Amino acid sequence: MNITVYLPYYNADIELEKVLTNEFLFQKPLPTFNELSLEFLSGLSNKILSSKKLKSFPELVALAYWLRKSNMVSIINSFKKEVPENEIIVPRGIAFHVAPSNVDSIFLYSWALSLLIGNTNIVRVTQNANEQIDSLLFVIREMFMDGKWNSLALRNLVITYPREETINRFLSLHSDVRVLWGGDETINSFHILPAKPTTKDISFADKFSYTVINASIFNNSNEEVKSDLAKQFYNDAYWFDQMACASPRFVLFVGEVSDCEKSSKHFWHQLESELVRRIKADPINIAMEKLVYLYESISISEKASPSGLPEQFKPTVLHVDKNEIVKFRESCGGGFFFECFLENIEELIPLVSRKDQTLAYFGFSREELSDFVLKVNGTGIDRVVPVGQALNFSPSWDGYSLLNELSKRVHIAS
Amino acid sequence: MNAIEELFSLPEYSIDNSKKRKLLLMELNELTRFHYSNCQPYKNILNNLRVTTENAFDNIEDVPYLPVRLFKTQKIQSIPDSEVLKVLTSSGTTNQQVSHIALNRETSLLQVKALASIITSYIGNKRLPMIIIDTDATIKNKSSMSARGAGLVGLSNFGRNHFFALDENMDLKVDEFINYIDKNKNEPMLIFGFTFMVWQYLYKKLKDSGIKANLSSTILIHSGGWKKLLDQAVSNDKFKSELFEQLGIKKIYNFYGMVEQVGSIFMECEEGYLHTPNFAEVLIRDYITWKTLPTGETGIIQTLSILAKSYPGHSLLTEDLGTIVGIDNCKCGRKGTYFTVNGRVPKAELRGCSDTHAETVLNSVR
Repeated sequence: MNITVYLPYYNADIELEKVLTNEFLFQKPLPTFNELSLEFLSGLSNKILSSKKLKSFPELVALAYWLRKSNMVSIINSFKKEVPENEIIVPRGIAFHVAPSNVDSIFLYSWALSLLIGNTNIVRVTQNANEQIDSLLFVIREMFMDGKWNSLALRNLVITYPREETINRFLSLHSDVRVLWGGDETINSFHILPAKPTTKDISFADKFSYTVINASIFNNSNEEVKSDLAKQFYNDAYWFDQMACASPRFVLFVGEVSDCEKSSKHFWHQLESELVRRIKADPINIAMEKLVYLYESISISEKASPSGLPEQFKPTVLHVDKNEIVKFRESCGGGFFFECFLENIEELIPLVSRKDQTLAYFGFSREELSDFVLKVNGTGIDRVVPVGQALNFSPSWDGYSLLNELSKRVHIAS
Repeated sequence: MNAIEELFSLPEYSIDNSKKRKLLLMELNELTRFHYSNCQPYKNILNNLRVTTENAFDNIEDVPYLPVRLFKTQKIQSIPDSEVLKVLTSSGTTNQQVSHIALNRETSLLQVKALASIITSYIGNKRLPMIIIDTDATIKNKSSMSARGAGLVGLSNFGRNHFFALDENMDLKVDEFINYIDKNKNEPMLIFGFTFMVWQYLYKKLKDSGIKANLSSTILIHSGGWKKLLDQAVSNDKFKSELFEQLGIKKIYNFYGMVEQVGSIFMECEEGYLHTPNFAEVLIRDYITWKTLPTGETGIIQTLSILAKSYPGHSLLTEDLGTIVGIDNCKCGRKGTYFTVNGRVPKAELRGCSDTHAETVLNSVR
């Protein structure tokens, strides 16, 4: 069985056994929160920000900021605060990460956290790595050439291979924690593979996300706030072609119908200006996807009302009745939004499902949101963030506290 | 005589396009109203797009279209299940959804009639000895048929003494093939197969085995998409010249068609262009405005056909790219719109948390 290795060195065609040697599999993990990993991640952050090429991808810039030492330290410190004095954090051992095929950079977040914990890591990236990932892996490979990072280079593998159950099985049997980035099908295909009795799975399944806007507060905001909101929303929705789990698919305007109508009109208009400003045109394949998806969506509703056929520099918006919200649980991406008017945010509660991840908000108080989350009571919604932060990775993701999940606790009684 | 009877009664490819469009439009208006009243998803679409069927459309361009992919994701038919005669399914790879096309007797008969009108205008009325470049396993199940099976069954009506040239492993039955062409060497034969299979399993096998023949009066009809052949850098010209070299076949016709509009096929002419038959038309649409494009400009192919009585497939937006070359003035002498197909709309590669393993390969035949 042959695989491609991207890290710590590049080899397009090498036998699995030569890579996953006993030396690799049975080496000792590094200590939790070791300085070397911290330095490495902060070094990577600098490399990204000083590379003209990498800097041109906004999601990599966001990654670089997240990897800054100060941020890592603050993540570590707030985690440490949760740990009682008589418990010691240690690595789980080998973490096997199955990266999603197209959200280029997201697996780096869980990898970085696993690195900080001290785990040895095997990352399976997609067969068709794109430019971002290629350039990023190239930069890390260059870093690994410096002997300074040797103990990390020995413990971190990034590989790819065709859909091959035997390799998945082999890696599963050797991993102490599996980090499975979706879709659901991939996750399920791993769940049926045997692993160690103690192997822990962290599964990031297919998810669905919303943006919720308080219509009257929006209407009463000044132009600057409104156009800034459009900019923030653009980042949430368009960075990963609207295909990240946290990308908003639904935009809910909350308030009196007349307020909702007014804010809706204004909001989409602002987004249009943002698309024009960014010269965000759709290539033929995305235009086609949106057209097909529009037809599919309106075929199952007796009263959906589209903003029109997909157009360049315009979001495609399909207004649906609140009773029909649950019908529309898929999305084609590329800037296709369902829109709905609610009288109050509580109307959303019965509609929330297990698949719901991010609620990005504008114009709601902390109390209203806490109240909402308590009433939803775990039937869905993993994160509530201001518009613009939907894609900001946090160590608490999909209901998991990741540092917790990636590590083990040893209790010392006295 | 109503429009549909008139279109069928006139010789194939003989109608001036302006007259043809008028006749088609009458029938398409009728079909739009019928499907609107009998197919809920279609009605929803038209209502939600605020398209009204109260007044007839004045232009063929105004007849609403459905993206062809809709037949893959939902059940769209205008007849009760009890009237379904057979269901056609499209070619699709394991992970892809397949089309579901429900035919009643009327639609099915129209398809047969249409296909006959087209094919006989190319090969004459006489049934010819026929070689099918496929295995007979493809047509075993008659109630639910794949696109490939439907194509074979449809075309096999124009031949006799059918010989399925491939075994179940897609290997050419070389000895039987040689015997068959030897036995029928004194008369024209009909060879039919899917483009890729003709190339891969017939031509290549014969070339590798060093077998040549001189089938100068034989007609080869093939269809099924060029993607795999273009991957091997085989153009239509190369396809023709190599098959001529190997088998001496001069009359080689490709056709463009789809399971969502069976019968309504667009045959290639001697000039290398695809022709619209009496009961069908193509339009080319721009992906930016979704409006129709003039002759000579490349865009998304829309196909209109008056055969689809049991499902709203009378106006479909494909995911193929094409260019109208001209109307009524092809050097081959056939009237009507003629065009070329320029590949498929590239598959959207949207980024996102999509399935790691959903890395499917488009397969044009199976």
